[in-house]
Amino acid sequence: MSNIGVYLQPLAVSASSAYITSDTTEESANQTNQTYTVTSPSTIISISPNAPQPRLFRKSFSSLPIITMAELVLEYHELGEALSEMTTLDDDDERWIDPPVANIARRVASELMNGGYPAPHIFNHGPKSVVFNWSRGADNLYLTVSTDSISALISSPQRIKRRIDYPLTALATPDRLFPSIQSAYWERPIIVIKSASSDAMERPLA
Amino acid sequence: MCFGPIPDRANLFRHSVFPVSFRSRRFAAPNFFNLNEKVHDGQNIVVASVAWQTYMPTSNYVHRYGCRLADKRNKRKQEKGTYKEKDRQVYCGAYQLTAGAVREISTVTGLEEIESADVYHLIEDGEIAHTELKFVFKTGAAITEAAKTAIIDRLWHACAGPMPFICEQDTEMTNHPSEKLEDAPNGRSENAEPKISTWIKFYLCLWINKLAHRELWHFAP
Repeated sequence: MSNIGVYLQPLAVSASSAYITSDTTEESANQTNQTYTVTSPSTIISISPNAPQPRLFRKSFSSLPIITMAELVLEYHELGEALSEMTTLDDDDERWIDPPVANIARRVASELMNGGYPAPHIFNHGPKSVVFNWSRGADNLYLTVSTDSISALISSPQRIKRRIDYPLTALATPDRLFPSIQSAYWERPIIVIKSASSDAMERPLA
Repeated sequence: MCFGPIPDRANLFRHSVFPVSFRSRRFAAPNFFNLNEKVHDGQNIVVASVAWQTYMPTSNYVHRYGCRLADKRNKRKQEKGTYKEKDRQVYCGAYQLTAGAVREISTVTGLEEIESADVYHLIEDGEIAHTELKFVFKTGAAITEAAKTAIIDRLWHACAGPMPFICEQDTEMTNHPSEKLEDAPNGRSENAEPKISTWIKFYLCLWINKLAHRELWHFAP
């Protein structure tokens, strides 16, 4: 079992590497204020209001690769770039997404990064949503983000394991929303599956 | 053979076409499926496009279809005056799945809102091999983005491949995006060289369709 402890500060998903500044990017084991700031007047969509102060975030997943903060920032930067690519296409392009969808996706990405989650891969199946995708072995976790809901889907090659729908308001409490989805994905006991929002709904699977 | 239901064992191909700018390593593999919504007789329907192997007897036919697809999209943009070089569509390769695997999606646990899933030969945009995947939702069931993701997940898990390809018009490209195509969960695709019976069926189906529709289609490799 590996433990990682990092100090996080609110971050945003930016589309351009030109705006990444890293005044204090030393990665010393004793460093207590590792700060990465991503600033872009034109591309910042969301900075988490719930995490105004650096905070200690601990994870202990034997199955998760340990990545440095710098790698995490780079991965989320690439994610922001990919989202931007999708919005700048012509609206008749299959890979184009509605700008409001992209804005919400950026907000979700910011919250995920604030929570120290590995950056997902993304795809879309039309203009009305963006899908965040993580793989663990042959299993997949998808977060479908649209302008009115966030839905989690956990699948294996053989079957759909779980589907959980959350209203968009659940994003107001990311510290409850994402751990509940994570618990479902890692098949740990579900503790807060409904506490992210009283409107959260898990589809019963036969 | 040419008309009526497409048999479960029939091979279908989904062509992977991307804007030239899509080189980020953050794009996930199922990105090549696109789903469209329709309403028919009060029922919500989701459709996707593939191509049927009966009208593409060799891998060369399969890839030429993909090259034409990218070419047509670029020409349409040029005609509209919205063409940008960074958005130029590039064909990268194809993934293979069977009609039976598509139909099985209607029985998947966790996708109870779907009443039926089927595959129909539907000539479109001059392409005789064009085939439509059709997912009919139960009466009163809304199409949700989450349900569409579940459909994509099942389609992706049914796919084999990829069969990467570089079209003639893209041979000068450095870092062609076909290099980034991910392996599909269902293993390698099998598009063995056709037997004589396959060629006979191919030409017979072309001839029958020509008589029925009196049109010319793109089918040449």
